[in-house]
Amino acid sequence: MTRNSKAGLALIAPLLVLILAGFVLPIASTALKAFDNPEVSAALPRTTVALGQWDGAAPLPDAVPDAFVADLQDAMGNRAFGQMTRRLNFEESGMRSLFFKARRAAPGLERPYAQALAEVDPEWGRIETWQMLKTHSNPYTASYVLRSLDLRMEPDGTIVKVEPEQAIFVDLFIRTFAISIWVTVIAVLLGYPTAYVLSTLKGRMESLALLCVLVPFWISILVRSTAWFIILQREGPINAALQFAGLIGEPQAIIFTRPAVYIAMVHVLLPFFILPLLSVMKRIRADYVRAAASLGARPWQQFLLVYLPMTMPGVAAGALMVFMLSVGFYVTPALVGGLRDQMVSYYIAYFTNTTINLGMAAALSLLLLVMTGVLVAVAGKLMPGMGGKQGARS
Amino acid sequence: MSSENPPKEQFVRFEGVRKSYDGTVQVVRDLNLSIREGEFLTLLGPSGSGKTTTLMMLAGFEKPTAGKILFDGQVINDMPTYKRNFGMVFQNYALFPHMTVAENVAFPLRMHRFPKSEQAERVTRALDMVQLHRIADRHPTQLSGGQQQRVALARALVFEPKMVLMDEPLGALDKQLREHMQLEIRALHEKLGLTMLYVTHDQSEALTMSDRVAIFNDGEIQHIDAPSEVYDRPRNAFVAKFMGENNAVEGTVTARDGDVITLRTAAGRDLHGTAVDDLAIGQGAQVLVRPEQISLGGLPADGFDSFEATVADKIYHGDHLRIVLEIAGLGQVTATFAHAEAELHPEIGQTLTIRWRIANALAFAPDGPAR
Repeated sequence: MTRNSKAGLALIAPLLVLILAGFVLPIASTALKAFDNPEVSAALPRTTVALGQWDGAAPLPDAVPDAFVADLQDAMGNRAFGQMTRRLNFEESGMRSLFFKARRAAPGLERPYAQALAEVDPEWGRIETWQMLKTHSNPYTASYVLRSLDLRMEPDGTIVKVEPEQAIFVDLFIRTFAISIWVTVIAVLLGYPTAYVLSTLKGRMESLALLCVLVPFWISILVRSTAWFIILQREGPINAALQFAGLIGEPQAIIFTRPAVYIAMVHVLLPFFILPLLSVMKRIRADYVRAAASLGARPWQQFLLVYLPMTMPGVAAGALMVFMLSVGFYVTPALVGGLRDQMVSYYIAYFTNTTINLGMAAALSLLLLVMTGVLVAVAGKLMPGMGGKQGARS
Repeated sequence: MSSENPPKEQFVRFEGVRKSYDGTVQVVRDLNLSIREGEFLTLLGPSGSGKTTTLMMLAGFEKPTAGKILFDGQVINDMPTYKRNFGMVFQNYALFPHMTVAENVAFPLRMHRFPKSEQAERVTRALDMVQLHRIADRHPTQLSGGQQQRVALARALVFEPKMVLMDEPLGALDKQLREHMQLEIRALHEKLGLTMLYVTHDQSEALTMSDRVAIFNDGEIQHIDAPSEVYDRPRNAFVAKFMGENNAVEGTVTARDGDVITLRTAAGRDLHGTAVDDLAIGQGAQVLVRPEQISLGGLPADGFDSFEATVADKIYHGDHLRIVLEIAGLGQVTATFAHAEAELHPEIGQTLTIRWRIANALAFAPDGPAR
């Protein structure tokens, strides 16, 4: 390695460390967290070993309940035990009380333990209970990811759909992407003409108009979303104005509806679309459209065949930006949307802050990341100019 | 082209055309200009002289503030560009970057709804014409400047427009390529017999390519004629100074004999000039002599002015030699000599005898204050 390249490496080292620490590591650890399943093996070490030697088919070997009771006796006042019961209760409700019942009874149990446990609660006599425990004694699990897709694994290893009343996550993902796509479409439709007008302005007017686009950009998303909360509420200025104009009799519910989410999100994200597009439009000289006109193109052909295709890289860049940001939106829908308008991020926050189920939070994050990546890759293939050959050439 | 009819004298006609963007500054003032069918007319002038605005008005990108533009007898002031059917070539070519070369050339054919089969045939022929058929599938950004220029030409010619407008089309090319393309465009003009209107600020380009040159300054045509006429017989001092190079000697008219005037400089030296402007005795005037009209040696003779001059500087130019001469009472004049003539090898400080033909020393009124 030459001296120069060493010096170059030293210069970019801080950035490399930052990218590694701030980007690669958190994503990698999140990805791992989604499959991490340490609770059972931590709380019941001997049982885990015994379950590992069992092939999962009836009958249950005696070694398993023996190890289990031994673990239960050690588990008095153990924090890991509480975490395990919470973990298993997430998989199947009722598990928590089943385990606590067994632990309370453990000191007084006598051999054969299999039978003794079944007397404590008939559930312990069912092979499925043990099969489930075996499944979750594995330090890695697909159950969070499956659950995020409204699926679960039966004790025998087959994957089935969860009960309809628990199946909320597929809808959640569909809703998240649907809202994001609509927000992107609205931002494109509103932003394109705005960017075009901006690109034609000169001097003071240009600076002024650009300022109007940028000022909201400089205000925190939280403040802007809160402002929309105030504007859209039942007693807010919009309802008041509509009533005053006699267009509506009663104040309408705008806040906590899907349109409110669209309005506030588009407002927050519009500058992200306008700015990249504007920089592309500014670089297109009037000559191109003039050339089209001189070659016989009518005004709509000049736009559709020449100007629009030439601005497509800007549209693609801006739309991609808006889409990516809206997929991860949290504050705005949380403030102005109803429960049926919440997006994946809301549930990630819910699992992180409220139920402290990091596995679910991580699985939802990971799936959101993967789905977004796939969607963007597909869009890139379908749309010319979206980071494709076009961009490489210019 | 209408081969059965004689070419129309007033194919395009500007009548009293004015253009002002802000209402006060006249970019084009009272333009009256006729373009003959089939001619190659160049609008030449410094930047801001109104030549490009004139082209833009003919193309339909700008509307005249006053006056009429007629095409083939029809007023076209309000006709949109796409209906005018003029091919246009831009300085930056304006090739569509999202289309291949062939698609670019096919674009006007699509717009004018040529039959599909004819489109392909015409594209091939147009690309053959500019020797680019091999790169039909490339995108414009993959081409050199000269290639892009040729594609732009092919695109502007392929739909057989009624005339072709070119706005400094060679401005972005290097000197050698520019000279080569000048010849190519000239050859295409002769082959196709199209009416071409060409805008440039490069006078050598204007001289080599055009049938006629219109010299613009200050929003007005100063002189319009064949290249040799505007160069050899400029109508006014601006044209004389703008075309090629000129040495100007200022003074007062002291005598007049027909066309020939005698000019006395402030230092009291007399010289002669052939009056182009109307000059009266006692009036201020300037005499202009081109560097290449000055010759070395020779005895004083009828029809010549001859002077003793000291060599102040000499500059080697390869194909010619430039010598800056100090003439007592006249000031410095520059002369250029072909090599054969320069074999004298004048040294700095040496005194030479030089002379020029009075018929080539043109006398004009002094430069007026800039408008």
